[in-house]
Order: sequence, then structure tokens, then C-alpha cells
Amino acid sequence: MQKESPEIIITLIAGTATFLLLGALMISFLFLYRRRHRRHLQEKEQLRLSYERELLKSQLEIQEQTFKHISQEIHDNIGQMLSLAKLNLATMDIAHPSTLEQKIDDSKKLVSQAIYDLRNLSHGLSTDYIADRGLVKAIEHELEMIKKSGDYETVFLMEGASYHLDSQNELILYRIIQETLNNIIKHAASQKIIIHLHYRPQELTLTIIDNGKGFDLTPLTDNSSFGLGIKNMHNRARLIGAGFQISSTIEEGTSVSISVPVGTPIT
Amino acid sequence: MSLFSVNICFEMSAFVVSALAYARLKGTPLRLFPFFLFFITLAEFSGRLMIRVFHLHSNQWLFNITTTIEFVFYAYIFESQLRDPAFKKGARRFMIAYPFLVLLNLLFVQGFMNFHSYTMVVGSIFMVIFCGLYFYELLLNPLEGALFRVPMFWISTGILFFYLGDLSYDILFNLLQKYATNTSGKLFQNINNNLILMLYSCFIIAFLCRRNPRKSLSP
Repeated sequence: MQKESPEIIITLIAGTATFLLLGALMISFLFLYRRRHRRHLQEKEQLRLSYERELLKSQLEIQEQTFKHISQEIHDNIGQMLSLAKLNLATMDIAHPSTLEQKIDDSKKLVSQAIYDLRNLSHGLSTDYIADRGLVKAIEHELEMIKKSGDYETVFLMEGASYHLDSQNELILYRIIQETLNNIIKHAASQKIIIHLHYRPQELTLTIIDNGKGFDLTPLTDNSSFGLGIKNMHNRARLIGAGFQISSTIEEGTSVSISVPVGTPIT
Repeated sequence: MSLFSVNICFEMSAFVVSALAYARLKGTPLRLFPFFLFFITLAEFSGRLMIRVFHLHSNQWLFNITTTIEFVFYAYIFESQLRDPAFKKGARRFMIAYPFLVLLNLLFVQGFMNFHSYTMVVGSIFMVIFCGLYFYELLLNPLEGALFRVPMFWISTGILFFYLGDLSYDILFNLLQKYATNTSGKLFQNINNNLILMLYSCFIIAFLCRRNPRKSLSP
């Protein structure tokens, strides 16, 4: 029998080890890929759940805001007008036809105004407020309400051909706008509010500017309650795949900018 | 001299477990496993009987037949478990072409009484490819739950390691025959024994898996 070459044995061992290693790599890759895929699915599901939660929260907040506005409107405006009309009716004197006619006219005007205001209010009661009216109309309405208070000058600017975003995304965007406007009213001490909507084919950019006292952005990095409100808006923007930027100069004002990519899949 | 070896014990165990799990395997292509494993155990036992009791010079012809049947059987299992029509078609073609290839090899190249190492290498490579295709489909359809509970995963893993592990020996077979000594023979025997243990252990796990195997998919 010929002497066995050690190279053959080495080749046999090395070959077997290499092939087995190849098999182990295949199996390991399969497991790693599946684990990564499962994690990706879990993250996706978590994102979807958090999106739905946020959507529900936004709907509730908008509803709450609407109810607050309605109760204020009924108490301060419609209630006053109807009380005045009632007073007119109560003080009518048939013996004085000249004042009687005036009072009837005034009462008619007051009741008409009350009906008009009630009709306006009833529009706001719709549960699909944003979906029905669209984002542009909703912003215009919001600004109109602020302007009506007499404390603010409001400007609404729009560039490009408007289009509808996904209705749920519009709702969340609208909620961010409401929150920003609330912050301006509560803290900014400004006189002027500008909302600028820029519709581009790939992106919608929304900018809200005020000429208030501004604020220091540094505490936003803390977990202070001051920062939490803005972080909340930032999180909401992230949920709809939007970019969120805020800049502020003391004594000059604040600008909030949100860029929403068009057609970004949410889930 | 014992007619039983650890390998045969594992093959028999796999057969017994598959027979016990037959009710669950029924209605799936894996139902053929008890019959296949019985055949393999019998063939292995007969091979040892030929050498150790009847002192025949060679039992290679028997293993030429059994390994060919093994390859065709595994190809059938893969054909039933793969989803892609092209992959299924490939497995079907292999099932038809491979026995002819072995026959041609035995008749004109290596001879019936010699081990069909050339076609063994071809068959092993195809088995590795089928395992790869099955794993590839598992990557594409990752929502099948835990892999450990998928019988075909265990079967494919066993087949993959067995044929990958034996591939070097099959490739070097002719060279080893020429320069064979006890060292390389024992080395192969050791490697092969361990691979057999692994293969049949994987089969046993596959039959004990809780999840029912996928029923055959028509193309």
C-alpha cells in the first residue's frame, strides 16, 4: 500500500470544516435575518399603535377645544344677544308705536345674528371637522376666531396649488397648529400671527410666525414641562413623517416650521 | 461482531419516532418518512450483514442504490415544500434525471460494483442547493412563526449539514481510494458517523415538532 499523503488528510479536514462552516453560516444568516425582520415588524406595529393613539388623542383634544369654544361663544355672544332680544321684547310698549317699531327691528336683528352665529357654531360640531372643511378652511376659521377677539392681527398666506393630505395626517397637523396658536396666545404676548402654507409637489411646508416676546430654546433639551409641550408637537410631527423646526429670538418672536412630505406612508 | 452500530440505532430511532408521529404526518408529504426510514435502516443493516456475516468483498452496489433513492426521496420532499414554481420544477427534473445519471455513471464510468462518487457529488450539491432554496423561501416568507417548530427546517438543516460534511470526502473519494490508509478511512468514518447522528437527530426533532408540516403545494 502506498504511503498516505498528509496533504490529503489536511484537505479532507479543511474541506469538511469549510463546508460545515458554510452550512452554519447559512443557518445563522437565516436566524439573524428573521430576528431582524421580526424586530422590524414589531417596531412597525408599535409605530402604528402610537400613531393611532396620537390620532385619537388629537381628535379628543380638538373636540375638547371645540366644546370650550362653543360654550364660550354661547355664553359671551349668543346668550348676550338673546338676552338683549328678550329685554327688548319685555320692554315693548304698545302705547309708544315709534319706539315699538325700533325695538322690533333691533330684536329681529339680534335674533338673526344669533341664528347666524349658531349656524357657524354647528359647523364646528362636526366630528369630521377637518375632513369636511379641509386644512386650509380650518386654519382660516381658526385665525378668524383669534382675530375676532380683537387682540391679534392675523395673516394667512398660501403658495402653490393646494391639495389634500391624508385626512388623519391633516388632523394631526391641525392639532399641532392649534397647539402652536394656543402657545402664542398664552405665552407669546404678540400682536401679529402669520400662518404660511407652501404647497410644493413633494412637500407641504407650514410656518407659523408671531412677533411676540420669544423665548430661550435651551430648556427644550431638559425634561421641563415647558419643553414637553413642544416635544409633544415634535413627536406628532414625526408620526406623520414631518420635519419640525422651531426658532425664536428674544423680543422678536418665534417661528415654527413643519414640513410634511407628500405621500409618505405612515405604517 | 455486532450487527448494530450507533448509526443504525439512530436510524431505527428516527424510524420509530416517525412511525409514532405518523398520525400527524398523515396528509403531508412527510408521511412517507416512516417507510423511507424503514428502508434506510434495512439497507444499512443488510450492508453490515453482507460484510460481517457473509464476508462479501463489497457492499457498494447496495449503497449505490440506496443513496440514489435517498436523493430522489429528498428531492420529492423539497418539491412538495418549496413554493416557487421554478424551484419545484427544478426538483421534479432532478427526480427524473438523477437516477438516469447514476445509471449512466455506473454503466459507463465508475462501474456497478464501485461507489458512485461522481454522481454522489452531483446529488450532494443539488441537496445543498435545495436546502438553500428552502431557506431562501423562509427568508421571503418570514411570518411562519418560530423556526424551531417547523419540521421542514430541521429536515433541511440535517440534510444540509450531512451532505456538506460528506462533500469533501466524495470529491476526494478517488484520491483516497488510491492512497487509502487506516488514518483517512477512520477519519472519514468518524466524520460520517457524526454527520449521520446529526442527520437523524434532526429528523427526530422534526417529527417531534408541534407544528404540523405544510401540506403539499400544487404549482
